[in-house]
Amino acid sequence: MSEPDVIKPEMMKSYIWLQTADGSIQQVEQEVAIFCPFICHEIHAGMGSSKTYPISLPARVNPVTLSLILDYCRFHQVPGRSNKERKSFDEKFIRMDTNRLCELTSAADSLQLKPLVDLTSRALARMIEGKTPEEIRETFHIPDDLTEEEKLEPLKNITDDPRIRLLNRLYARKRKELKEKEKLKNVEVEAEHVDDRSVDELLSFINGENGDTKEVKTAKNKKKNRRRKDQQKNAPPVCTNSNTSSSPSNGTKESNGISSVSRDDRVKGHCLPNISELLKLQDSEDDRFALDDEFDDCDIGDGIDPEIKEQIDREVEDFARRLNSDWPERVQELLSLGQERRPSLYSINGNGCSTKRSNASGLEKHEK
Amino acid sequence: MEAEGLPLDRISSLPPSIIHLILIRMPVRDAFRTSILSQNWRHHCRYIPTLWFDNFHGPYDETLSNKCTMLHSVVYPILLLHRGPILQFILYLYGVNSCCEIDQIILHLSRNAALKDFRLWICSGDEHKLLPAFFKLQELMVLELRNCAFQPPVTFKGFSMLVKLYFYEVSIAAKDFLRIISNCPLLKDFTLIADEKHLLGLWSFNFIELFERLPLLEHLCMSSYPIQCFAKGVIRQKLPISLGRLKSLEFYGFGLCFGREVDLLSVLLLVTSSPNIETINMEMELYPTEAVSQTTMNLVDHQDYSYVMLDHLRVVVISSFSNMKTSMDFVKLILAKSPMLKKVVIFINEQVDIHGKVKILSEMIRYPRASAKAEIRVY
Repeated sequence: MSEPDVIKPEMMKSYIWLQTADGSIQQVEQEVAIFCPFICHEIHAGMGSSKTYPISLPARVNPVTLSLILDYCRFHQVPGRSNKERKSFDEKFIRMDTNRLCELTSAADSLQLKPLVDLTSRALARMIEGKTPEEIRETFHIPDDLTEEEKLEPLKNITDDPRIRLLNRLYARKRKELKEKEKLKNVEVEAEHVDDRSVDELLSFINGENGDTKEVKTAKNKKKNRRRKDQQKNAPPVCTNSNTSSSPSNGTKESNGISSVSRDDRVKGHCLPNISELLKLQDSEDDRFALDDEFDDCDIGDGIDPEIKEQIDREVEDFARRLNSDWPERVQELLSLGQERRPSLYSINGNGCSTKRSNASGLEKHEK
Repeated sequence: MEAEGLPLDRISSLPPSIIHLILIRMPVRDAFRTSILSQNWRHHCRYIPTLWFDNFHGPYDETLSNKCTMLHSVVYPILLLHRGPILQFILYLYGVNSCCEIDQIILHLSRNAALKDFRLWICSGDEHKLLPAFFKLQELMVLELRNCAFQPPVTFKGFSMLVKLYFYEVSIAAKDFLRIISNCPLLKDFTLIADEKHLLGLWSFNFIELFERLPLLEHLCMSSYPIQCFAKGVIRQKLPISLGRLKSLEFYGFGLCFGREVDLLSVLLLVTSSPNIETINMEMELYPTEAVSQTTMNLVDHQDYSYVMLDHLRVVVISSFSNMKTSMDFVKLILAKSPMLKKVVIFINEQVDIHGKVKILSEMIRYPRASAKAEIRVY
C-alpha cells in the first residue's frame, strides 16, 4: 500500500459483492470476506467480483448478522494480533441478546466459519448450563409445551442429587399405586389417601435420618402399615377444611423454604423443577427407576448428614408451596394434608382429618 | 414466557448439529436436563456425540464421589437413554475406585465401533484392568488412561488411527508398548507419566527407536523415569534424527532433577534435537545433587551445544526451580540460544530461601539474551 501515492489506497483493495437473502447487496473488502470459507469457495468459483454477479449468501444470513460476522472477520483476519487481544475481542463481541446470538450461530454455521460457531455455541452453552428449566425457557423464550406426563419421563430423571433420586423413586411408587387405585375406585378419595401416605413417609423417612432412630423405625413401620392399609382399601373422607389450616402452616413453611433457598440456592435450583414436575402426574415408566430396595438404609447413608436432611425438609415444604401454584387442587390438598398428618400417622385409620391438630408439633420438629 | 408470537424462540430452530455443539459444551447432566424444555428439545440430548462425565475437575462434589451416585445415577441412565453413535466418551473419576461397573461401561462402548475419543481417569484405588473388548476400538484417535492396566490380547495390533496417547500411571509391559508405538504413525501427542512399577518388563528401546516410529510427533510429555529408560544408550550422542515436528516438550510429574546427570542430559538431548521446538514446560525436583561431571557444567560454552539454535522457542516454563548450578546453566543456555524467545516463567521452589531467590534473580539478570523481547518472570 506504500507504493501507489497517485492511486487512491482504496483502489488497491479488492472488493467483492455479497447478496443476502432479502435481496440487498453490499460491498466488502475481499481480505475480510475471505475469512469465511463459504465466501472463499464462491470467489474461487468466480462469483462476487461485480455487482451483477454477487455471491448469494445462504438464507440464514440476514444483513444484521452479516455485518456482525464481517466485524468478526475484520478483526481476526489481521495476523498480528496476540491471543489476548483476540480473546478480549471475542468476549466483548458475544455480548448481545440471545436471539441475536442464535441467529449469529446459525449464520456462522451456514458460512462455515467454525471459530465463530465455536465461540457462539460456547456462549449459548454457558447460558444453559446450571440453570433451571424455567430460567432457560425464560432466557430463550422457549414455549413450555410439554405435557406433564412427558416431563416425567425418565429422559429427565438424570439428576445430580441422591436425595432427588430417592424422592423420585418414592413418588414414582406412589404414583403407580395411585394409578391402580384410579382404575378401581372413586378417584379423588382413594388417590388422596395413598398420596398422603407417600408424602408422610417421605418426610418422616428423611426426617428419621436426623439421627432419631425411633423415627427411622416408625418410618419403616409406617411403610408396613401403609401396605396393610392399601390391601384393606381404607379411605378417609376428603377434608376440605384442611385447606384453611394449610395456609397458616404454609406461611411458616414459606419462610423456612425461603431461608433454605438463600442458604443453598444451587441445590434448590436443581431440586425444585424435578420435584414439581414429577409430582404432577403418574407415569408408569418411572417405575423402572423405582427399585424395590429403595428404602434400604444404606441408600440414605450416601453421605447425607442431618443438617442437609433438615434442609430437605424445608425444601420439600417449599416445594409444596411452589407446587400450590401449579398443581391441580387436589394434589395441593394432599401435600398440606400429608405434612400436617405426619407425626400422627398411626391414628389415621379412617379418622384422617381429626388428627390435623397435631400439625404444629409436627412442623416444629421439621423446623429445628 | 409461554406467549406465542411475541419474543421468538430462536434457539429451538437452530439446526440439530448446532444444538449438539451447544449441548456438548456443558456438563452432560445439564445437557440432559434440556430434554424437558419443550417438545423440540426432548430428544436433542440423546443424540449428542460426546459424553463427558467429570467429577475430577472443578469443585469437589461429594455426592458424586460415591460410585453409586456417579456411575449408577448419572452414567448408566445417560448411557441407556443415549441414541446414535458416541464419538467421544470421557470419564474422569475422582474418589471412585475401579469396579466392575466401569467394565460394563467399556463393554457397552466397545460395541460402538465408531468411538474416536476415549478417556478414563481413575484417580484412586487400584488400577483398573482393561477388558480385552476394549482393544477392539480400532477407530480410536484419542486415548487417555490413568491408573489402568494395559494388557492387550495377543491379537492386538495397535490403534492405527491414534493421534493422541496419554498414559498416566498405566502399567504396561515393554512388548505391549512396542506394539502400540509401532502401529500409530499418526501420533502427534504422546504423554507417558509413569514410575518403575508401571513400566514392566525389559525396556530396552531408546529415544531413537521411539522417534523413528512417531515421525509426526508434535507434543511429548514424559516423567523422569521413562526418560531415563529411553535415554539409556543414547545419552551422550546427538540423536541422528532431527525431530523436526516436535513443537512442545513437557517434563512432568514425579520430577526431573537436574541434580541427576541423566535427567539434565536427556532434557538437553531432546531439546537440542528439536530445531522447531516452541514450548518447553518443566517440573523439577529438589534433590541433593549427585556429583555432576565437568562436561555438563558451563553448558553455553560447551562444544557439544555450540551448534544449537532454538529458532522457534517462544515459551519456557519451569516450576519448582532451585538455584542449582545445573539449572541456572540450563536457563543460561536457553536464553543464549533462542532469538525468538518471548517468555520465560520460573516458579522457584518454596524451599529455596530468600537469599537463594535473590541469588537466582541477580544471576539471571546478567545472562546474555539472544532475544531482545524475552520477558523473564520469576515467581
